[in-house]
Parts: sequence; C-alpha cells; structure tokens
Amino acid sequence: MSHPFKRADRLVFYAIVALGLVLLLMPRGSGRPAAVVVEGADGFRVVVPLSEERTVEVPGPLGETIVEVREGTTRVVSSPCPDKVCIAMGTASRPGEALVCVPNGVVVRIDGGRRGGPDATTR
Amino acid sequence: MKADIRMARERSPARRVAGFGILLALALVLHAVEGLLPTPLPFARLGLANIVTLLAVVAFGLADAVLLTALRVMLASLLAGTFLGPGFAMSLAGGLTAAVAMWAVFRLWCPPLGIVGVSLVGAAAHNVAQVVTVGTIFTGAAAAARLLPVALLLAAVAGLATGLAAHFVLARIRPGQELRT
Repeated sequence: MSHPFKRADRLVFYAIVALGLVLLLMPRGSGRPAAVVVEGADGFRVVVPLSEERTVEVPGPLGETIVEVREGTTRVVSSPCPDKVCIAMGTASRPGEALVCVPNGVVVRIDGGRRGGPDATTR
Repeated sequence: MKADIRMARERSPARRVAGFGILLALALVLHAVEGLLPTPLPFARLGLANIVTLLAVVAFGLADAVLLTALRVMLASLLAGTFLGPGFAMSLAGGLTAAVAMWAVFRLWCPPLGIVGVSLVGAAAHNVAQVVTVGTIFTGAAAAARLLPVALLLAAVAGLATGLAAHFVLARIRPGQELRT
C-alpha cells in the first residue's frame, strides 16, 4: 500500500481539474437584465429596462431631447441640436451600443445583459 | 488492495467507542491548527479535519462517520462562537455531503480507486455542497455558480493533500494493533 496514486485516482484528479477549468472558461452573462441608461446634463439619469416601453424627455442646454424605448431597442426621436446626428445614429439594442447627442449633452447607452458575441461579421 | 483496506475496519465495540472519541478530538485539533495557518484566500482551506472523516468512513462505516462529522462541525463552531452562523451552515453542508459521498465511493469503487481518489471525490462533493448552500441561502444560483470553477480547483488540491495523509495513516494501521506513543 505504499503507492498512493492509482490510475483511477489520477483520472479522478484530472477530471475535477478539467471540470473546474471548463467552467472557468465558459462565457457567462452578467446576470443583470439589459437596460437603457439615459444620461443628460446636470446629472440627469434615467434607467429603463429594455423590456419596458417608455419615452424619456431629457432636458439639456439646447432644449429637450426625446428618447424612446420600445420593442427592445431605443432611439432618439427628436432633439434640438443643429445636425441631428443622434437621430441619424439609429437604434441601440445590444449591451455596449450607445447613442449620443453632444450639443445637448445626452448619452443613451445599453448596459448589463449578456456581453460577448461578435459586433458584426463579414463574408 | 481491497483486502488491505477492508482489514482496517474496526469490529470491536470498545475500540469503536474509544476510537470515535479519539478521532473526534483529533478532528477538532486539526481544524484548530489549520485555522492558524495563513492562507491567500480566507475560505481556501485544506480541510484537514476531513482526513478524520475519511478514516472514520473506512474504519467505522457510514453512520459513525456522519455522526463524527456532525459532532465535529458543531463542536468546532461552538468553540469558535460561530454556531448556527453562515460558516457553520456551509461547514455542515460540506462535511456531511463529503462524508456520504466518500462512503458511497469507498463502497462502490474503492478497489480500482484508492484512498486518494475517494478523498478527491469527497473534497469535490464538499465544495460543491458549499456552493449550493451559498446559492440557496445567501445569493442566487447564478452568482453562486460563478464560484464553481474555483471551488473545484481548490477541491482538487485539498482532496489530494488530505487523501495522501489518510492513505499513509491507513497504511500503518492494522486491526488489533495497539496504539503506541
């Protein structure tokens, strides 16, 4: 009985280590549901879960920027800025995407939810 | 190997009672000494007291091993002032699960598996049970599941260490042998 490491023991050891490593490297969600964070000037901040439908009026130096959350995406409906770049940016729906109106100081971004997955693919 | 291991089973009732008391005291001492050792992570302990649980599984059987583990956890937590606290719940869940798992593996697969293998299974069961306890009582299942990889890796190391210790103890014990100091 002076050989503590039988072949089966080795197998068990490697199995446990392998299981631990596999679980370590698996991608995971952050556990928080995806939400839209709307931030404006002077500390204005509203968080709307993507599952809800809401219109947010964001006050800013130029006037009111209207942000809409609907059907799992968000977009800027109207804004008093001269170029309307924020409206042209279209919709945001995945974590990390954002819409910004610089003149009026409005930032609309998607936070939480499951990260990972490619941003785009080409063929 | 199977014949050797089975010979370690203690049949004398008097020896069992005395042995039980000694093992319980030994487990408490191991637990206390281990608590004095520094660790990088507070919860990353080797669980040296589980050596005693494994010895009890081999020498005494399931009922005694479970009782021994329960008493050890209770006494240790009473002495430390953590009785019925969160640490107590986790120790109890881990220890009892490990005891039962080790007994089952010992009875079913010990001939191909050695004491080290049984100990590894016990350590894995111990840590997984603790993760499940955390997930059930404290946080949610998702947050607790993130502890699994670390729990398993630590279990591999701990199971190895305690298994080796138990192996070398059993290698020197024969039934009927007087304990000499």
